[in-house]
Amino acid sequence: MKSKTGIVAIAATYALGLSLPLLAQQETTTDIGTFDRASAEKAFKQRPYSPYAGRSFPTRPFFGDTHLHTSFSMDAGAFGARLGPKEAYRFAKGEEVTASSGQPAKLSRPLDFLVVADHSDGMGFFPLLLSGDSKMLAYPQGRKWYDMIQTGKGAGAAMEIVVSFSQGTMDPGLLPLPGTSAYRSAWRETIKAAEEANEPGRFTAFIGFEWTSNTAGNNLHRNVIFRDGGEKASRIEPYTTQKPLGSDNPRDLWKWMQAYEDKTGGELLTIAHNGNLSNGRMFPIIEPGTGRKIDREYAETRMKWERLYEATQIKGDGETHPFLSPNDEFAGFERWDKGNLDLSEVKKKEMLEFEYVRSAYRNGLKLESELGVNPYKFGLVGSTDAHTGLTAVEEDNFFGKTTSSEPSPERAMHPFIKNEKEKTVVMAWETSAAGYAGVWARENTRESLFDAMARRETYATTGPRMVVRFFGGFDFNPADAGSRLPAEVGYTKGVPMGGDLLGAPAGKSPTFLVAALKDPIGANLDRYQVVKGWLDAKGALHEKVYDVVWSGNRKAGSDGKVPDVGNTVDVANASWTNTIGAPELIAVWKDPDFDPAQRAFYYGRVIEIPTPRWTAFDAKRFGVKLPKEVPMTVTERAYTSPIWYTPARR
Amino acid sequence: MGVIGKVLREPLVHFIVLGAAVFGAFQLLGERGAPAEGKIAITPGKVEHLVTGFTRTWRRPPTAKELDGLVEDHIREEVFYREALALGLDKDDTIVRRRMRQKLEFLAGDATAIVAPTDVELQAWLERHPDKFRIEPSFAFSQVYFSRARGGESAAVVASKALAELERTKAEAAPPDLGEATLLPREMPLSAVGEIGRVFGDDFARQVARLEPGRWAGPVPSGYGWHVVRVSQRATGGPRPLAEVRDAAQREWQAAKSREVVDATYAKLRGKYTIVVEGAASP
Repeated sequence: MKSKTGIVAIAATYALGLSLPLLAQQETTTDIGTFDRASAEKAFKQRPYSPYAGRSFPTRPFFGDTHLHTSFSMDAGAFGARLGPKEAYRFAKGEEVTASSGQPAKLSRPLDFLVVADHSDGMGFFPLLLSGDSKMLAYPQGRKWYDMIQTGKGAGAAMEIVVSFSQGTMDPGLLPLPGTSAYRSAWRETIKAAEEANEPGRFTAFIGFEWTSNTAGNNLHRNVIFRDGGEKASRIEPYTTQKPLGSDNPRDLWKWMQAYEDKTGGELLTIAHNGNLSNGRMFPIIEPGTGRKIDREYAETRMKWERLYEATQIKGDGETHPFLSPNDEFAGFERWDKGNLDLSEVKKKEMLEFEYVRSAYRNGLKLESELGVNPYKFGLVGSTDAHTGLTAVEEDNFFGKTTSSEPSPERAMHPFIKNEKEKTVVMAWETSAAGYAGVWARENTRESLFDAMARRETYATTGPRMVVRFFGGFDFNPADAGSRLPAEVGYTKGVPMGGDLLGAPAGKSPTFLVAALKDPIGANLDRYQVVKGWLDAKGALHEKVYDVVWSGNRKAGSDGKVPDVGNTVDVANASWTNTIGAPELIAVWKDPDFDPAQRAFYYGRVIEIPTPRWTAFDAKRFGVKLPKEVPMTVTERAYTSPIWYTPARR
Repeated sequence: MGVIGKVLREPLVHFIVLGAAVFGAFQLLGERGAPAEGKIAITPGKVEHLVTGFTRTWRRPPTAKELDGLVEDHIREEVFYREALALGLDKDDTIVRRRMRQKLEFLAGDATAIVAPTDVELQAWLERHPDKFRIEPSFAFSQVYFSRARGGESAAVVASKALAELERTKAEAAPPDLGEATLLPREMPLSAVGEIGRVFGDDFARQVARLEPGRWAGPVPSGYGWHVVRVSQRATGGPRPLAEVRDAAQREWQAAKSREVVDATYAKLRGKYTIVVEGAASP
């Protein structure tokens, strides 16, 4: 996977006619003659006169969701989801469907791609239970739940099912497991729905599933995405967490992925999510279950498969936490930090460092200096994790996390997760209408999108479809920001998001060409920031947020921070105006505090002006009054995959 | 396929044959007279029907005691049903009337589900419904972007002046330094209206679709600012080839056919009646 990407990158460099100073001055004698600059130039054409001809870099981002559940997921079915993968793809393509709660639902505009990622454990459980399958009713639990559903006690049944599943007290015979005909048919249906919905060039329907390692309620969930079509995907069945067929240890998942690739010649990658609910286990330094410090093999394997991380979704945002980033005014966005997934264990401050993206990037630098490999060199996407079959997370069109939280006057005030013993509760109004993945691919196909994900040329958005560029190199100058073709300059003089900068030339600092364009139907932009993290000579880790370009005539203070953009939100009417902010931001920024001997990472963060949160739309449309503690505005944002700087080896 | 085959596949024929069978059965019954007033026969077939129904709901066959209960309940239902009919309680009951109508409509509409259309029929249907499955019209254009006021003039005015200058010089390509640098593509290759909408917003795409190709026009507003636009190429949309949309078209065809058959059946049946609207207010 990586080697292929590497070759593409090299080929692209040639195709763009880059001067390669080191190579260019050399002659190499091969068995078909001497290869020098002149012959190379003949083989690889000069840049054509037309700036648009032969352009092979991505010109627009594709937006999608890498994480959607349907009725095939056991918990989704329990909460009343009746839409399956077929309907989920139809909805993502922009068609109107009837939600499980009976109301019509439609997106403001189609998405470009979707991964239906149902839980592999118990896949197809609900459609089977509801149909009164005789094998399921042969078990006392199955009999009981079926009768409860038939007699109108579906909600109670759902709770029992979810609890018994997460606590491991469900009769193993009830779980449709790989190898049974029920399981096979659910997987076949999943594949069939994707194959039918996939329209290369127009809409990409990926095949995928979620591996839901959730031991004791600690979230180590990962989505597995196939580059391949049904022919290869149907040669296996998804990997589960229940022993003995499956395992809750990520290392075993990676082994299974390797076995798939060996068997079929296909390609997979995986995207983890909700480190915020892992209670210190998502980005560990000490490997859970072993008590040992993670080793080189762990780091290498993790980086081979875990190319991306889902940084924002309905169950909270994962960029950073105010405890970890006390000097970042925009930290603490849509925060979920009360405990693990089922709140069976409350959060302790020392867990946070191993849960959030930014601290993982920081620890990754340190681990790389010790192990030689950075296990946390992942790119970023946002996705929904909705359990409704509806990838609907626009603030004014939010269909909630589960079928019971689809639009209704009461939905915001339902307890979403409750633990009586720990006396903790997460309310439904705390669910966040987020997010989507932006992918810089050349064309809208499984192959092209997958390859862009594998090379981390992606960004996360909390919902709006803003266009975000982030290029790093050593030669960008301020005039590049005024270029008519910023992307052309970006790809020619630097690397895009997800890339690497190695060994700074003497006397030079990294420079970045940053640009963002607002969502065509969305709110204006407040500012574009660059977040830097680095490892100093003493082995201490640091981070800093730089305001790089912003709207209007605001002046940065002596601390470099730009004042607040203001707020035009009319909460009562759930409206705002684009009278503040800017539709587009572009600049070149040079790291003012650069030390070429120190490892560092840089990523872009784009902040929108404040807009009404989904709760404000609920309050207005249903005419309900929500308590004071419910936030009614939101500052949507985007996070790019980082560009990493690694010092040259001495 | 022969003529007979074609006739046999015609849904209306199915319905008429089915209908004739149902009516025929009633007539036969009628000739033989209604079932004897005082007799309720529990045939083995009836018992089997009850057992099947129970098993479907409870996922197991009934016990002997349960079966007795089922039979007893069935007899009770039959007695009340007959007495209710004799009293004419089915008349003027909205629910019964609706249910009867629904049953007959389903019966008529269902007949089409077993008939698959031929490619020729589907093709003809696609041509009659060009809007159901069509390729969107596409446009290629150049755009120059203005968002900032300059020298006391609003962005819209600055854009209008730039447009006037382009018209005066009859330039095909705008000078590279005209307008503001932007991430928005200055040249949009031939793209469907929906695709243009995803980049510039749907309102902008709709306006561009109305521009005359080959000349600079605007300024066209978008969520970003103002644009002076020159459409260079236009491809009209059209129906998509059958092969691409066959499954979806067949579903739509069957749904439409089913509605047609129900309507045709209704028209035919209605013809049997003389409708008198009494005391209708004269216009």
